[in-house]
Amino acid sequence: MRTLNDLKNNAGVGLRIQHIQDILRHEIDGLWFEILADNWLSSDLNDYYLALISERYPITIHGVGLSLGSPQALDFDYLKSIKNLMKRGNAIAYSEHICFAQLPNDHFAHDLLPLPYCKKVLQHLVQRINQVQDYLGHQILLENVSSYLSYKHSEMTEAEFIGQLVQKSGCGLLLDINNLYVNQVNLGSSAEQTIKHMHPDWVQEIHLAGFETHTNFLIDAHNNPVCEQVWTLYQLAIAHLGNKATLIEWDNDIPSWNILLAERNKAQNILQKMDYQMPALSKVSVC
Amino acid sequence: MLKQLQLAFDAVIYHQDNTLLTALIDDKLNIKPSTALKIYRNNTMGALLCALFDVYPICSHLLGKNYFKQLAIQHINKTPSNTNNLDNYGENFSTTIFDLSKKHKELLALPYLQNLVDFEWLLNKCYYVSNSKTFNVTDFSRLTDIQQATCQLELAEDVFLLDCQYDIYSIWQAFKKSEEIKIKKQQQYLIIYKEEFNTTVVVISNNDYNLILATKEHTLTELIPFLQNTNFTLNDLICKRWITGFTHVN
Repeated sequence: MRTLNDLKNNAGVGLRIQHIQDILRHEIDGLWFEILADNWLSSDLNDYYLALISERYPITIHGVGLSLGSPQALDFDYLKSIKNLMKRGNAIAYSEHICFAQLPNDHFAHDLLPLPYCKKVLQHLVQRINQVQDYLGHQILLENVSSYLSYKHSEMTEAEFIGQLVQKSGCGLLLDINNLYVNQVNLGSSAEQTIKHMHPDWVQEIHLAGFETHTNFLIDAHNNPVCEQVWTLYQLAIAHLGNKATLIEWDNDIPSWNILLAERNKAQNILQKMDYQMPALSKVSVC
Repeated sequence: MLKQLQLAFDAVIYHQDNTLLTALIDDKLNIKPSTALKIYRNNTMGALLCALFDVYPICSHLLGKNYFKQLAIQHINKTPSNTNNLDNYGENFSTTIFDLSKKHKELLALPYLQNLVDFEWLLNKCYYVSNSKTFNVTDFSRLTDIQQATCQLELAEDVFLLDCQYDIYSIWQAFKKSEEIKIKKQQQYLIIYKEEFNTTVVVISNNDYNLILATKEHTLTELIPFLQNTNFTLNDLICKRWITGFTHVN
């Protein structure tokens, strides 16, 4: 059984239906795909495509619908469908987010809403992660989210919260470097310090993406190439953590396969360049 | 604390009320609290709008993007999402159209709209339904005569019926071929189902419609009167995989 560690020298991309014909045309060494679980849970056609891709490339599953931070009971029907999807796609790993999406009265936000960084929330999340890991029978990965606000009653930094979460729950970390950068610009946190706080054993996967620039803030829109500052942070992260399975997320204004592949190849080159120069910390500035 | 936070976000996103959440967040950031909350509201609105545009491409084409967007926004405000799967959002859009048509004269001038909305919803539903069942003839042949006579047939999960007052089939065809759409008032019965991976629509007769509808409610013996003057035998319905199962009382 393959693990994410087997992909540590490889860069992948999010799988999109519109790219499938291009993907099947040429086999690409070291490529792997992440599928956004919530887009692939239903439809026979999706299953057919999934089979075509998973026969050729490693697959991981990334979810946005679990709402781990909500106080409501976990949705085991949803988890059951995730478990089935993992089986159908022979998936290596399943990741979710440190957030909540469910609202009262069975409303859903369809967004990754940030949680306060405090002990009670930590305890709640750890309990829920354990429930999920027990049900699935394996470790899950959790991703840090981008945010446009911070809470008055947070008791620790994002880095401290993530560190404690990983250690107390035994989950892995999917470190999204773009999200760290978006938070740096929006909230004034330090992406670099957060990366340095992460133990190499915690991080199993890295996400890179592009954002939308506004006058005083960034929106994590996944609709652009990865910006230079995020590439610099990525190199810092690799220097600190070692090579990690890396994924380019491009979910809106989706480009042609060749453009997406070129972006992925930048990450692949960084992973392959064993004797890279570690960038000076001062180069990591705000756009 | 999490319940309070959920209520605060629900108020921001679905009720345009920032009061609760503003009290909980830091106001000394680069990004103003009001801007931050607007981003979250827009993210949800954007996701749901996108879902409605995806489900109702013909309606949005006929109404124009801007007009459709206004209807969609009113629908979202009235019907917050209660599903974590966006593919399932938009089911009651036809009710919103019906309610709004009482207030907006321009909607009254588009009487075909409700049929069209119902049609597009069923197309969407059919696409996402998975149906791998086939009718088990061997099991059926093992039933006693009485069991066969009193058993009830099951329609395939990916089969949907629609009774329309307008020629919706031609609208759908014209839209697919990017041809000019002509609206014609005409009683029409449609069956929507999946053939391989493609959602397919066929115009059927009133008798065919009543027969297929009756399979959901009647025993096999009770179906006999419905089989008169139809274009299909029960065997045809099984071969087409429109009927994929049966239930019987032991």
